[in-house]
Amino acid sequence: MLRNRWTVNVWSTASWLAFSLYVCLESLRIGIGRPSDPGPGFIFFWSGLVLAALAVLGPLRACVSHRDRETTAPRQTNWSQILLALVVLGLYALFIERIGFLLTTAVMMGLIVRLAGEHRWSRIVTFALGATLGAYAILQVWLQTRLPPGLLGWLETMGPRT
Amino acid sequence: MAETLPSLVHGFGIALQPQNLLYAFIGVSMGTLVGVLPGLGPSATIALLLPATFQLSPISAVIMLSGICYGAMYGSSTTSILLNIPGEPSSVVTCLDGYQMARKGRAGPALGIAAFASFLAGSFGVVGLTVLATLLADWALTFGPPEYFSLMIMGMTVVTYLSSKSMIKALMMVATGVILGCVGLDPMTASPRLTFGRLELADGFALSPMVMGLFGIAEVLDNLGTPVKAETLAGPIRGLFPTGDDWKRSVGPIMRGTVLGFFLGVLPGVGTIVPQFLSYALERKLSKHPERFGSGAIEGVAAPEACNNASTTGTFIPLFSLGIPSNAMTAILLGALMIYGLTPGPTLIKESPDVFWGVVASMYIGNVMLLILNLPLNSLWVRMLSIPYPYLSAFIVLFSLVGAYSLNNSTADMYVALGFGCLGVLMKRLEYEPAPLVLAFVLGPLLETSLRRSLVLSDGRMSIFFQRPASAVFMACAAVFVVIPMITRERIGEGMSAEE
Repeated sequence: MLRNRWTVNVWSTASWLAFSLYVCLESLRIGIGRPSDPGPGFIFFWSGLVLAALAVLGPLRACVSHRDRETTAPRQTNWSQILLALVVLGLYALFIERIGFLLTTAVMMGLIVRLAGEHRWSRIVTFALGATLGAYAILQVWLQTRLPPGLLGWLETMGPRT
Repeated sequence: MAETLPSLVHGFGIALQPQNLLYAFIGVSMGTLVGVLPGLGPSATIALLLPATFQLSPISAVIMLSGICYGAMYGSSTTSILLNIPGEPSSVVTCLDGYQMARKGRAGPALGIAAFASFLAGSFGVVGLTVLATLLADWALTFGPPEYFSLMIMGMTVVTYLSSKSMIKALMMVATGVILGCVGLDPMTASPRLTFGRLELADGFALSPMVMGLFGIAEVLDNLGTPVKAETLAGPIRGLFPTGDDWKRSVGPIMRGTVLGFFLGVLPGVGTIVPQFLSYALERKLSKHPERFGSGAIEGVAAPEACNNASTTGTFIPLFSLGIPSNAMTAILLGALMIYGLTPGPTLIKESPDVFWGVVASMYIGNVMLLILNLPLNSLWVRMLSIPYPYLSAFIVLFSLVGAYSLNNSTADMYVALGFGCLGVLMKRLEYEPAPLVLAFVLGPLLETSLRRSLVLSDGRMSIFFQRPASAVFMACAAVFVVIPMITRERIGEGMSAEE
């Protein structure tokens, strides 16, 4: 579907218009005030209006101008790969506090490396474990970032007390 | 002006403290590394490292982050010369002659002249920063809300004018950036705006997760399935020191590139990409043998490399003296200054002299460090390019998400980073540039406050922006940058992208 430039433009314009319409309506709800006393929605209203005008102007200009029509075609996109990575990262965000940094990170790193093109599982597992421990050492031990312990929280109680 | 020298000496006292020297070294090394690695830029790196700097003193933190900015300019020439892939968009032009030199077995002199030109231009830029920033800050103290509003409008207009893709799309990014930047509680009435009733959005979108998403996560997602292949030229790199003839041909281009880059960098919104193209075009025009350009002319490496380093240092002037960033990189740095509790703008130099003069002095030292790092360690940086992209991408994603999480120990920031990551991929595919969005996002709240105060002052009359001289000049410049492409249907920035 996205290969068709016209379809992309229609969807893109519609999305921008919907977004700017929402912004304008919301700004009217919170109050745009008067020019001499601008309200909290003033900047949103005018930005939304400008955005809507530009969203319409872009495709219109492309229709009129031959030069603008000759823009590059969208690149071939492996959307399933991107969606899969997003699901992995979404699940990582969802479970990092419940399960903990070490376990979730090892799984996430392994899956991302796999999706990014590494196919040998021995390398993937070695990298996932090594990188997770390395990142833990840098973030938690050196930079003292508070990482969620999750299921392995009991390990912290065994460490040196500060 | 008379206080400049004692202040600079005081700055050296701060910059030479062991911990600040260490952070300057870490900053320039990180900068060189991300400059060498295509795909990971200084903007994303600053955003990734931001949470880790919260435990540092503001001086050390700003010294390190600034080091990343100018260090990346040095590193990016390495990939341009050896791989024909610019490490940063600001080194696109270096590919033209640098890679041809490398193919002819002159990679060493190309890398050498790039390092020396960067050093000379960077050092000149810091001298300019030392002198001009204080003068500009003194002048900016007379600015009121109308001048600030007009200046920001001019900066945003210049950014859109110089965008490499559609100007309309760049303007749309500016409008979106302003909207996203103003989400949260109203600064005057404290009423929630576009927060969807979420408490997490009361303070608006945080800059770090947004930038990590747009630059870090989006970059990885965009490259999934099409990994970056880095193939370096075979053989060791010999003869890093340019010959006498090389120097003779390069001195003029370095000087011209430095002056051009510095003064263009000072202008809000110009950034670092356009000046290098202008510098290359200028040298080709002035050359007695323009036909040599594109086939390995050393002037074609010296001029743009001097230019991009001088313009990078130049972009620090509006940042420190006006609180106005010139590009995405300085916009993130501006956000960082605010997070450290500093007030960017004309009062920064007077209220936080230790930070300003410490950072300026560290830049002198950082440039020397970079020259030392770049000449003998070039082969080490080149070896970094052999890191397989799948492994690098996993680390980028990890540090983006954990960096976002560590801001507030909240997964909400991770979702924000992921959301902006999705948006970033769509933007790449639909040819929207992230730089105007980030710039407008950072400037949005200041723009809104300036606009509303100006309108209250003038009882709602827009003429206030044209009645005050400085404001009128800024508005006129902004109008010129909008009108020129409508008349000529040509723009300087059009087509200038890393991909081309």
